[in-house]
Amino acid sequence: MNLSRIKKTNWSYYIMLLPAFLLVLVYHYGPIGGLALAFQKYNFAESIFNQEWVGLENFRYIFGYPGFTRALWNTLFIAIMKLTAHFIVPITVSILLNEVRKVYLKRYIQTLIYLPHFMSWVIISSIFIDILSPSEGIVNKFLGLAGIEPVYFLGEPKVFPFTVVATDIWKEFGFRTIVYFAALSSIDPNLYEAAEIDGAKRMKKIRHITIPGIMPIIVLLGTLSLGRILNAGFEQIFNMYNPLVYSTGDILDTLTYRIGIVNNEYDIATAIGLFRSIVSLLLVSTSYYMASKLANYRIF
Amino acid sequence: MKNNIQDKIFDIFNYAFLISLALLCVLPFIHILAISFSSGPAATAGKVTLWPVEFNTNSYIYAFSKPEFIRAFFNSVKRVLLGVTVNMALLSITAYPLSKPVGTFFGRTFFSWFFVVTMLVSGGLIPTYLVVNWTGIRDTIWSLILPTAVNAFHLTILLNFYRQIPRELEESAFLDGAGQWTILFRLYIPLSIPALATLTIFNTVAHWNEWFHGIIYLDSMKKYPLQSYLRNVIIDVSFDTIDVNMMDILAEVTSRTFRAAQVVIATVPIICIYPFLQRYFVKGMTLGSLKG
Amino acid sequence: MKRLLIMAFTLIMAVSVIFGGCDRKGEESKDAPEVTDEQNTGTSAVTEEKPPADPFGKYSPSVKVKWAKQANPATDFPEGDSYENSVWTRSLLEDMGIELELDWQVVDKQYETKMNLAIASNQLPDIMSLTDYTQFNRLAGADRIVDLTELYEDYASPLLKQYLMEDGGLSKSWATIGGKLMGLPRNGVNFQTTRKIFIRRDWFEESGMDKPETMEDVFDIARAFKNKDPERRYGLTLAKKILDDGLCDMRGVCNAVGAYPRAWIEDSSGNLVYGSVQPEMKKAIGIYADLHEEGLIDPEFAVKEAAQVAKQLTSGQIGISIGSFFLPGWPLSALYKSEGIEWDIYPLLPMSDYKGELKLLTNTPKGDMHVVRKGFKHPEVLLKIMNYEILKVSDPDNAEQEKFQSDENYNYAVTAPLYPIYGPLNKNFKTNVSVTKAIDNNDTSYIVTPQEKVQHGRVKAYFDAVNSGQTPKPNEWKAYKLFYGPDSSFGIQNYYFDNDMYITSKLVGFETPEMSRKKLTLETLEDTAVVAMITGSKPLDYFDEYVQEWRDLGGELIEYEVNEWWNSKK
Repeated sequence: MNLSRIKKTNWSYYIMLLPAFLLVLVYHYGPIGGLALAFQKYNFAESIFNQEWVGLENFRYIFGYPGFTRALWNTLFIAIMKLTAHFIVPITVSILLNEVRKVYLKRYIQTLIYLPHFMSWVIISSIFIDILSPSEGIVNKFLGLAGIEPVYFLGEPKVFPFTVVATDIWKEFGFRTIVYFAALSSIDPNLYEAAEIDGAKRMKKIRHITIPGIMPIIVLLGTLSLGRILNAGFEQIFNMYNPLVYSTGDILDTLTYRIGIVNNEYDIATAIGLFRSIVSLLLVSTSYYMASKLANYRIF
Repeated sequence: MKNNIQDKIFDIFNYAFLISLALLCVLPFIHILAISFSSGPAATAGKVTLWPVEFNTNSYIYAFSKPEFIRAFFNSVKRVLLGVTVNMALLSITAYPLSKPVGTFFGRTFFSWFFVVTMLVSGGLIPTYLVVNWTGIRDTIWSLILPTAVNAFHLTILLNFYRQIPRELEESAFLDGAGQWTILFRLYIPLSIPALATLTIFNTVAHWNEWFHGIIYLDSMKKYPLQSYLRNVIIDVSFDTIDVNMMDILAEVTSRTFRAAQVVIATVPIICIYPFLQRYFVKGMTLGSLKG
Repeated sequence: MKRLLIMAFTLIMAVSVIFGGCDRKGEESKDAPEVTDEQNTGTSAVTEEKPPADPFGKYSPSVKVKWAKQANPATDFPEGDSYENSVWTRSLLEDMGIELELDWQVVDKQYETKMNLAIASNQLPDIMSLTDYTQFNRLAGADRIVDLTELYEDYASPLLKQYLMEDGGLSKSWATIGGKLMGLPRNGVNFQTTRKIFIRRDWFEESGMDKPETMEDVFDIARAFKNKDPERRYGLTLAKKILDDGLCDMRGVCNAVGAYPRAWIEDSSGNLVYGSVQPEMKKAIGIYADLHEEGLIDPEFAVKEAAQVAKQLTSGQIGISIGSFFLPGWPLSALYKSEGIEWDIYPLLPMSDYKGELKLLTNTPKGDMHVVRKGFKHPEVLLKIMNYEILKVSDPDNAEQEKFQSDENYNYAVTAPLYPIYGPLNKNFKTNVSVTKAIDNNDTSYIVTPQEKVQHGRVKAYFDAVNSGQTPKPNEWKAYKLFYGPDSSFGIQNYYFDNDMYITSKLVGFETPEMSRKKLTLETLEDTAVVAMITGSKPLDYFDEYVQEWRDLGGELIEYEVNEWWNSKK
């Protein structure tokens, strides 16, 4: 009985997987062969399948490129801060929003906080240059009321990475709360009712019902975000940085942009992409197997 | 009693915090809205804050007066309908077997990784273009849909939601004689409405906002979705190559007001769809109601 | 389990190899006929087999030509027209038997991406326009485009040759690689972007100061403006792109002390040197450092885009800008429209202690070029199309201006397959002369070209309005500021031109290997260093350290490579 059941189920599982499998095979794994370009010298004259192999030359070139180390550290610094903040802020906001009992208010706030997601960095950066100005910006006027010296948010190298993180959070936190709402609404309301009958306080309910309820999603998103450890956000930095803050604002993407895209050095750009992929793969798979070994939990 | 006061204080702070957060998000948008309805010179002079100055609708007229705009708008609608349908169908089906525990079927972990890897590794622009070209879908709407049809990120989210559905439900359905497909459609999908609604929003927004694929895979502007089209009509002031011919247009519609109008045009349809999907995840389905 | 995983993986690899293999085969079979094509119809074949070249000969039957267009976002078409079907495509088919088939069209920035994809996927259009020398050099080096040397001799119309050679063969030499003409370049140097001084008239009159004669005078005026009223926040404009912005960079002041940033110029010993690292540059930076310390420039300039600086001009925060010809068009016309503010334009002035000749640095040409795909059967089509365009737009005897260039509503010239269309060099300069003469003598016989007609009409309307006590429209004011009299934008260009005050980078169209690797990195270093010295976060003497760093990072090698090329060229 048991055996036949497994056999029967197997086939429909595979049929279910088949369409997506084929699409991914063709459109994702097909092009992955192009990563060979990372080990080749790209030459316009030849077909892309017939390029000269140069071994690790491209990697040597990148790692030896002036400013590479600095860009790598800046990327890590900004990306790690972003990952952390993008983790904490949306979770906090969605839990707080979950505590709002007036349904209409909950909905309005939700709709409003995800508006910034739709603005491009070109637009946002020009707004921020105005409101973050040390001399006329509204933010510094508020700080002035509190007796704080004006801060040159976009021009002071020490401050710039934090400005980048803060503005990125502002843009994306609302949109990122959506998935937590979905998780929150999947929690069985009976659990809350039962807790109330037991006289549990609000904090206790949050700690013992809400957070465990969304834990799988938190862990999943946390793990997957590790894949973005070398991604500090090109469009944002490209629109916001300036000669004053190159020392702390230059990231891998802007460096690649300078050596690769502008000069059509696709081989170099591919090599940097591959470097990034390898780091992400290592981090994600490590955490996957850690979770599976230590907590016997498969993240995906 | 004490509990109540604490609750009240918490509520007050919570409301104040969330409302100011919402304001912080909405003010820049109002600013953009105001710019889009202001005159070019007023916007250039920075006179516009939260209310239009020298109110006019030139930027919108400029956008809407072109037949290409209407065509691009409908191309986008078509793309979203087709794309989201394909995405959601593939997602809801593919996530099901992957949500099963390890060992239920041969190769589960391999398949999970097979999909997840695509999130972390990509072949790059040129190879992807070559594959799209080779499969013969370049310059068709399918080039905007098939290459991104399976989103591994969404897949892993959904499979995690599927996993939270109690096994007992499935087993009892199985004992009632239901097959895998029936269990998926009758049990998993209805119970995952909040997650599916969320992913529908993600996919809608992604398809609506995406512009780069339109430009690289499509050859004719007639086929462009709205965002690709708008990229093509924005006048970027390039001081190097500006000539007398260009200057006439520059003064009439400054990129500032037009860009603003573009954001508004691009955002409003999504904002309109949002409330319809929102109710599914603000007030999720309860297991209890299903168990009846 | 493990073994099966490996098997599955092998299977995938096999599948992808097959895919890859198929693709390769496809490429080869596609390539094969092209190669034979090329052998049959190479340039030698054209001259041998075909009847004597006729620059305007009609093809019968018509030939199909695939092309790609770098679309102009500002283009409007009459109802029903598009790049696929325009007055140009219809007439070329009818008159020349050339059937244009549009492969694709994209605007500015994405054009290059799309072109690179076309190159990589071996789907080049038959004729195409390139946007920079890097791409051009690579395509030529990869033997993917046709050598036009002989075709140019045979097929270029006399007028085409005349217009192209008006600059003494300079732009043609930039399109020539190893003695072979590989593309049809944009003709002439863009002189009009050289810097001029724009001063707000109402503030100037109120200050009661004399007209400026040196750069110091301009700074004095800026000082007087600023001190008059706290609303006026700064003296003159400066933006983030300090070296090459056009609206508000430091190039004008650099030229005023004989510094030529981002250009390769000849030094006294005949070698090429890089302008950004010469001692004159230190002087220019010093001037701005002083201005910064004094508060005459916005201390936040380094984060501001040109559009935000434009805002400072139009909202009455700044009254002086040292910028390019187009300022009256944008943003000053906005201020004229809202408040009727007038501006005076002055030619660039030297610093009082500058003893050298005052020279104005032009923009360095980027490499706009029309080329033909190697393997295309009728490479002469490129020249024939340009012949035709010139005939219809620029030829004084045959041009059909309303039909092909523009009427009141549409600008047809920009929709031509090959744009810009060759014409007499510096037509804007000439428009200035003829419009001024026509207005002064009240004689429209000076007005010949369509551009002259349009601008003359506007300038005349301007004077009519002024004389009848009305306010001229912004468009009319703009034309007046650009084209009328010696004090207009183009009047000043004419003054520069007549006195031979232009200087252009000697390095155009060529990029050394080290340069293509390090150019942007070195430019980043320049920006960082210059901004640091202006804002005072580094002392002015840091300049020498910066020059050393520039050399160490690759500048020295580039300098060597450039001079090797320069000497071989001489």
